[in-house]
Amino acid sequence: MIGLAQHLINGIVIGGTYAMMGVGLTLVFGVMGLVNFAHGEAYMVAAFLLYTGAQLLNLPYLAGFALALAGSAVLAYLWERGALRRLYDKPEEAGLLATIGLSVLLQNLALLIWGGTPKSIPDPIPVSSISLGPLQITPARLLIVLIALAVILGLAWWMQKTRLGKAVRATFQDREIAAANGVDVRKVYSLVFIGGSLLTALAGVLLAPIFVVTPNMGVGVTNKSFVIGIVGGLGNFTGAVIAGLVIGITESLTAAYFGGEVQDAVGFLIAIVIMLLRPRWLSAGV
Amino acid sequence: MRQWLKVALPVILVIVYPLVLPSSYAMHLGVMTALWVLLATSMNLMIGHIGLISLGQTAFFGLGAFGAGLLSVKLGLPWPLTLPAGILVAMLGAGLIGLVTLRLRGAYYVLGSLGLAEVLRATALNWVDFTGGPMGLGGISPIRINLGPWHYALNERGHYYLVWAIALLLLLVVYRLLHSYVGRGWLGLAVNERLASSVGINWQVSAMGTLLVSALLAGVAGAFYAHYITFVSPEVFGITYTIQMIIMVLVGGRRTFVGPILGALVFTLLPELLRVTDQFRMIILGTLTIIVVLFMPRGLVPWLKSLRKTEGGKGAMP
Repeated sequence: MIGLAQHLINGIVIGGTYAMMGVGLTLVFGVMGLVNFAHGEAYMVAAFLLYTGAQLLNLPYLAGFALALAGSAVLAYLWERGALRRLYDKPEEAGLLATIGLSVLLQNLALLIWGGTPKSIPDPIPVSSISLGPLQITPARLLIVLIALAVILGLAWWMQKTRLGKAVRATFQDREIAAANGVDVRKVYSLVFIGGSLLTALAGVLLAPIFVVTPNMGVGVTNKSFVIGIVGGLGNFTGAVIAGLVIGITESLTAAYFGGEVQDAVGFLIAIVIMLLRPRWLSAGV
Repeated sequence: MRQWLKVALPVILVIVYPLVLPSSYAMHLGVMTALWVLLATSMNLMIGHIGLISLGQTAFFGLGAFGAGLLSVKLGLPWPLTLPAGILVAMLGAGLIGLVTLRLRGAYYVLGSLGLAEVLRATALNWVDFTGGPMGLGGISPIRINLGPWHYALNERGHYYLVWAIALLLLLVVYRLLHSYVGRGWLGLAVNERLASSVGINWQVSAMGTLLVSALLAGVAGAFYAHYITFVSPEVFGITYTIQMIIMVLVGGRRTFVGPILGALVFTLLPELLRVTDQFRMIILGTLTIIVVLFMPRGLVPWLKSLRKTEGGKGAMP
């Protein structure tokens, strides 16, 4: 029983980050209509930037953290400005294909720059666990949950209450009418793309010390984010959050009782079943 | 006269290549090129003709490979039996996969197709007793000729001729199919689905047909691959293969017949000529994809054609 609760807690920790990744992808799809195949690479690049800062340049952790996020934002901006922007008026598959190319490019660049051996980043906070009754959680993981929670709630508040947030929602609902009402759709697109990438980058930075860092770790993130997006409904913010948590918890439980390799496949199976059973719910976001 | 040349030229090139470059390695390259030509054409049928980005296309390659391989290893069947059997497995799989995925559209189809390929990969990785797990399926019998007085194993050049004979034959069949009444109906769907449907071209049937033919091509490649390498790893279900297929089709020119072939040739042979390492090859592939999508969205072949400036506006087919 205690084991179960422990797995639940671990699942929530992972689920929080999954929620962030999922929201990043689903917003980009919902607002921009882009299936971003290079989504996971934002996670990977951020993790590697953190590694570079913390291990190679020996910067204090917070500096590495800032470097990772800033670097990710800059790269996202450059990509959106230089490449994605030209594709908005083309059929939606153009974006998909371009991001496939980007994904391949980034993975192999990372391989070239940092090499393929898995890297590890030491925990920034001393590892001794905190006990909540019979359950254990490390301060690092607790912090991850808190940060994820804060970011998601903050984002939700921002989208509801601020002018720019409302502009984003308006663009999501109807791009042309929003433009007719004075919303600068190009800026919204830029913002959403960079924001989505940053959310994923944040997840990458938070999880990097827990898992090892490899150039192709982004692929699993992309797969997972797609599953989360589909389960929650592509374009559906709340759906992605809930799906992220649910999948995080499910994974934690199945990994504990069934063993690791099948997670991606199981996730996809669930996504496919959902896609087949509930077309109406999904097209609400499309 | 021109028509005859279109058929003769590839055949001549295929025959001449081993005479010009007889080394064992050049033969190996030749074999891989043939396989990639089949795979690229198979992907083009999906992306270019019916308009579905089949991110799980390598599933059919893998099914062909494992199908043939397993029959060879577990039942000891010889290659003349396992090759067709592998193809059947791939096509059967395509039929089943199609029943599921063809109900989905757009982004959902893409992800569904990818998902099923991943499921196959996970199955191959974990069913260790059956497929050998991460260590793959080894000990597949190589291709031997056992006909009357002739008994020998094929050497590199033999494999080369065999695979190209099969490939050219299949390409001819596909070409005729695409230019047939049925094939033009499929093209009509890709160009304007509503209009095509309004004259009675059924999308579901055409999509399944395209899927099955593409699975045939990929399955042939897979089955041959199994016997050629005598080893199949679960990674045949991995997305790396699919991505390379996509790049070949994109760069060569989707919706043209020659485009994917050109793409396959370029991407298999060029890195060897330039002597680049694997990493650089993938970096170039990725960058090229982006550039092509941005600036040459129809690919190389249409771009080259536009340079020729012949009597304007021929149809989408070469």
